[in-house]
Amino acid sequence: MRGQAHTLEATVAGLLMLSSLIFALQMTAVTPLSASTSSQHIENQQQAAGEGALSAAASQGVLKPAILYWNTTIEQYHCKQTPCQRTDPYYTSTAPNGFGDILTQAFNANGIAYNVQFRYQTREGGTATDTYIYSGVATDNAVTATRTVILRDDDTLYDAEGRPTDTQIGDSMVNHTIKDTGGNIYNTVRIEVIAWRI
Amino acid sequence: MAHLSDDRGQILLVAAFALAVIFVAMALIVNSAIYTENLASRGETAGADGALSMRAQVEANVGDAVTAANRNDNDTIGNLTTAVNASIRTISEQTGQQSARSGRVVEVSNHTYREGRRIYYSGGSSFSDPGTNYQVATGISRVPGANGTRAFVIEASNIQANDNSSAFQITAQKSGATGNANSWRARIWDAGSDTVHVKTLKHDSGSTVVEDCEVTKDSPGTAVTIDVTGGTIDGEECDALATNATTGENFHFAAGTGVTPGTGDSYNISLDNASEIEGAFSMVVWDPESRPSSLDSDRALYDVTVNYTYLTADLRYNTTVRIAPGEPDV
Repeated sequence: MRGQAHTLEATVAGLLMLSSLIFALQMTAVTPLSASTSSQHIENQQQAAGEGALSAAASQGVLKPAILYWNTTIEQYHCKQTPCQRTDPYYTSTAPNGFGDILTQAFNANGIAYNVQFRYQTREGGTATDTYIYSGVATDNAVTATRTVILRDDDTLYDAEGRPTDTQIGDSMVNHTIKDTGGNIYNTVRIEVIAWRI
Repeated sequence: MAHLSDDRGQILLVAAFALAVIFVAMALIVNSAIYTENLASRGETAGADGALSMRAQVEANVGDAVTAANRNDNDTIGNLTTAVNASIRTISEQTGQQSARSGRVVEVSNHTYREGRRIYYSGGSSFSDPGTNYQVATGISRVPGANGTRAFVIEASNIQANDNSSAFQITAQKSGATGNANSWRARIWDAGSDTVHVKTLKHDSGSTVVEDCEVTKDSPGTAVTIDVTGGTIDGEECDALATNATTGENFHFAAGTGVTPGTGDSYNISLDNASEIEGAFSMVVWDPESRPSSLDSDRALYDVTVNYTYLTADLRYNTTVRIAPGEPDV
């Protein structure tokens, strides 16, 4: 009888310990800060890296040339191969210009995928987007860094090597996806870098 | 012995209770640590950095609009202000619309202007058309808190000078000063193997301070862009046109002329050995009294002051911003 009581007490003690252990484990739930691909820390860092890349590109004077990196013959952004092998009017890994180099240095080595798109005004007064670099559909934990620049009618287009040409974006023969909205200002472009961890 | 074995089950039970309490307490401690970390990693709630970075972007964009207007609409001051007004309206509207996507209101409005003059030489050959040594502008006063000359850029296609004695020289000197008193002089020459040398002599309060810098050109050849007021050569920093990296001594354009901003004091800009350099240059000055007739000049806006508003759910930021693209520190 006493043996059975002891066994029962031991079992109850064991259950108590086990349940407290489970309870304790339950309390350290997955929080936004737990190490994972969706950690808030990582999102903050990616956001800062995106803003930094945009600022660096702007101060080195390669951000606007990235929008003006336009081939008037194929009416797409410059393509390095001739004839152009790509089927979509955007870059799939990185852009072959100064802005692309900065993004590569900021993200590619760290296992971060990114899309770049230009958001601009349409003539009707709405907004439209133009995909520039496309790596795939962004995850729910993607972050966006933006920078707004203006294009002037007399901003010149750049050739495939990144040198300015004599052709101005405001020329009537230039059929850029971003259109002139009138006046000295050609258009206002919001450059968006959408980054997420893969 | 019998007594002890009677109590054994209770000891086990008490030990289990104690352990359970410890586990729960530890869970609480760990959780509070996580919460602290969470708080620490949150940014400031108001997010003032968004307001400031947007302000910098608006500044750059309006600056671009002023440059475009100075170049394209310089017939009358009315045309200039109309063009800039239209551009600022466009910027305000389009930036506002795009910022609305991220729940922000951005507005740029209510502008005042200072009229200046854009002086340029675009002959393509040597700068000596008006003479080997000549004055570019005289009687330049300083804008309160700022310089009075901005966007002084030389697009040199060739620099013939190859040493200090033959160097092309830019001088900014206080009106009425004699000798080298109250002057800022920058000598520019080609140092060979695709490098450009700039030597700045600042003659402030009786003694001369000298700063040198050498910058390699972007691409081999004779062409080079010297941003005199911006302090860069082909986009690379040059201490002799900016600040000394170790002492912090100011060598920006027209430093050491002793011209106090906001007073009647003024300075003159002149070029020496102008035959030693070829290409084009351009600058915008605040209201010079005279200029050599052989140099081209147009009406221009020296600066624009706009009212900038940035609104989010928990922040209201409203300030006036003075925009003068390419203006150096005093």
